Amino acid sequence: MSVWDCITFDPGRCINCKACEIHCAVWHRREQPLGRHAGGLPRGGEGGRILLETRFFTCMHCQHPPCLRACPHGAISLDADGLARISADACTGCGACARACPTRIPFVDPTSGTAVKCDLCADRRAAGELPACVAGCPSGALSLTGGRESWQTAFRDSIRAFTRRHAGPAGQPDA
Amino acid sequence: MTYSLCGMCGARCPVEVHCENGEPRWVCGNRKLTGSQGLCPRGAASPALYHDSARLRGPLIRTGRRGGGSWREADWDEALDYVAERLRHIMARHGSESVLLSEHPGPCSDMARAFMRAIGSPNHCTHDTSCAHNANQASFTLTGCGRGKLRYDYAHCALLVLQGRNALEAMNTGEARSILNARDAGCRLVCIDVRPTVTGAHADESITIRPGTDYAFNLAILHTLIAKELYDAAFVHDCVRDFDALRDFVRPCSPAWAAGECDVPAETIIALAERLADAAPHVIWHGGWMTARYTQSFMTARSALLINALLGSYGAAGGLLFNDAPQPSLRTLAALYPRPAVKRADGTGWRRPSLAGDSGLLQECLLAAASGVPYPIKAYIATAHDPLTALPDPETQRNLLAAVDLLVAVTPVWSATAWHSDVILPAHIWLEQDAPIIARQGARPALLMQRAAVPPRHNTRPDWWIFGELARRLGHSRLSFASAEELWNFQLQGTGLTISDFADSGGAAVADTRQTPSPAQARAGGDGGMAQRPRFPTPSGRIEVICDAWEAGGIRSLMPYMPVRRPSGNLFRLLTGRDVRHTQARTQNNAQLHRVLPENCAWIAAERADALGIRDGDRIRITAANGHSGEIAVRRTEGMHPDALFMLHGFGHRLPMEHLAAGRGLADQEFMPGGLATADAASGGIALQEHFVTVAPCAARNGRG
Repeated sequence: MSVWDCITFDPGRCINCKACEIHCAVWHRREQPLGRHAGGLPRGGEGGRILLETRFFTCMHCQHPPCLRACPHGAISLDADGLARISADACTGCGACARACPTRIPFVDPTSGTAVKCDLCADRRAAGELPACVAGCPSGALSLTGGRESWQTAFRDSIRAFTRRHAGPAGQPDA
Repeated sequence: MTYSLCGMCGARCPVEVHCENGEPRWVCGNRKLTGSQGLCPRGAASPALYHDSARLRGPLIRTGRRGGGSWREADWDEALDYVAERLRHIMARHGSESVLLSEHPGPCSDMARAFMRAIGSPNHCTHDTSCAHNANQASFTLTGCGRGKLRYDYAHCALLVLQGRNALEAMNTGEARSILNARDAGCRLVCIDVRPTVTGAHADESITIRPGTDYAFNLAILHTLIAKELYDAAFVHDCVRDFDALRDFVRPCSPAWAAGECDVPAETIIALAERLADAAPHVIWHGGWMTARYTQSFMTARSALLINALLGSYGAAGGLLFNDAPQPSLRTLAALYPRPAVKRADGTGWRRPSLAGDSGLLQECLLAAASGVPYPIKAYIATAHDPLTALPDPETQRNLLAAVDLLVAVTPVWSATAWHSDVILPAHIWLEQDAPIIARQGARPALLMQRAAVPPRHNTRPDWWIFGELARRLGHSRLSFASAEELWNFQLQGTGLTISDFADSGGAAVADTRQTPSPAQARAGGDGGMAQRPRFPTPSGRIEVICDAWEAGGIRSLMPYMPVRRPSGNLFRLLTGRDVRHTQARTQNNAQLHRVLPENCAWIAAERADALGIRDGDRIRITAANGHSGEIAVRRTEGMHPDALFMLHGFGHRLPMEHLAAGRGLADQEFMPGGLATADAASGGIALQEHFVTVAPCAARNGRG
């Protein structure tokens, strides 16, 4: 485990199947996954190419997390591995962390009323296993990477994709 | 953790089931057998199936009218006695052959086949008529064997053509991974389809074709390969019979001619033929998976295999290889009983003497039920199969089924067919079931075992036990097994393996003592310098362009292309397909899968939507030829062929217990009136995509989300 550990997404391998979301939701026993797969529907582009932009948005585990700084209740702290963790006891569900995150990763769980986010499957990591989304991706589009350079690339890609997505038209029913 | 086989679809991927407190916790790929924990969304959503509200909780016997939804609960003895007694009565009155069984084959297939043999009925059908029938029969007619005897060597392929085979969406995890790996290793991927797909998005080249014209496209490829002498003449000389007949037949089928039929420029066709020749023999023109599309799909499948033949890809590395490793063989239950001598109700073996295999034509059996020709069908057992959804035109099916005195559904979840049946015998879901061992063919043959990972949640039973108990009540106690271990021991007799051999990984490899060449050696050897040509199990030992058996049955091996209807105005050809997030129509109520794909929508080409004043996201009303209509959201799609209206199959559920799926989307099969009689002219397989619908904007835009 390094402080640069994060989940890296390879669009060249992604088949838009959303297994990442389901592996996450099932592992964490949630209706909603902690990471979000964004992929619309394929469409024809110039020269007969078929276009499909896919992306997996999840916590990049920033070293100076804006969510931590934004929390007015001190509910977010860095754990021994340098990952921002939300204390359910201290969280009031105000949503300040979600607003502060550049890719809106934390969200307030409607059942518990507290904010939740990806912790790289802390329980699985403790047992020497990969995060559920990475292990379960059927096409090998997700990987757990370490190192400053790969983190910076992944972080920039994620922000760019998020910005692009939110500049475009609203999502469509995915069928 | 339990090693098992996923039962969410028919692919049966080896999995690990991780449990906690007697409930499934997480399901992932079997690392030991597949090298990865990766598993598709349906497999991943298995724990949600465990909690699904649409599961059956115990045996039910109908009390009111069929489809009225009135049931009484029964215990297992009562339900089984009831079915056995009704079967006995029907068989005494109408003969054993009046019993029909259909299934979507899984591990239970051997038991279902054995059950039908034991009671003396030949009428066992798979779902194949609405799936792989054309691809499989095409393989038999040319190579003498079904498509299962050949495998695609993606790992060494240089050019892969996927034509109407959306392999990265309607997918099986292992195959999708192999294709992506091949592409990453430099294999060029060409996708031919009627709409933009995820597979097309990953392809190097994507060709949009007019629906129903793939046969014309392929004839032009064959024409170009021959006219420009791009084919592998040495391979053709050694391994293809009747080449002259093929050459003469495709002579008029020029790319310029096909361009007018297919809406594809002639230069595109010529360029593809040239690239195929450059890459030969390391090329695969995929023979298709689900091919129940058009009335010319059988000939399309044949032409695809003929392209492979002209390129010499049979037996070549990176092409189509025979499964020549020693294949596993289990002792089968079906072999305990002779094949019934009575002729089949669907005409296979007599009215259609040339059909190979024994998957049958289910729709012909249903038609026989109503007509009484060649004899009446009076009892119908649908196991792990939902014909009212899988086959077209449920309204006509219900009318035909009125002539059936006993309709039994063996299924773990509610379905349209279960709702319409007289007795429901509920099976375990796969997570709860020890199932018969299955044999996986292929490059790495193995025996695989599905094992119960959690205790049953409801009053259900293993499907093999249900058939065993019915058989015992009908006097065939050899099919009754007290435990899965007893059944497994029966299957393993003569294999030299025992149940404990499966403990380590859930699978048992079949010993291979041959000297196998390395992939590099294999490719070098396949590059024109093959010491040995493949020998095909046909009478001549070669690929036979003219299939004598079919010709004797009055079916021409080289059938001329028939031009297709070109809808205009507000008329569209209805197309249907699959997505990796649902299996047919049986996972729409799974909470996790519902969340990622809650309903289908109607894809129509951007230019046609604009012409009709329909915007993306609008709701439209689509109407079938018989007046059946429904509302659905539109997806205005760039890059879609303008003839087509596409919707995913499996939606439009109505049952009250399907609280997530009910009322979401439309059911494509309801828009196919007369669909049971709309079949491939040569093979008899159902043609699902020969139906047309009209489209009208709904008065209130975006009325319902």
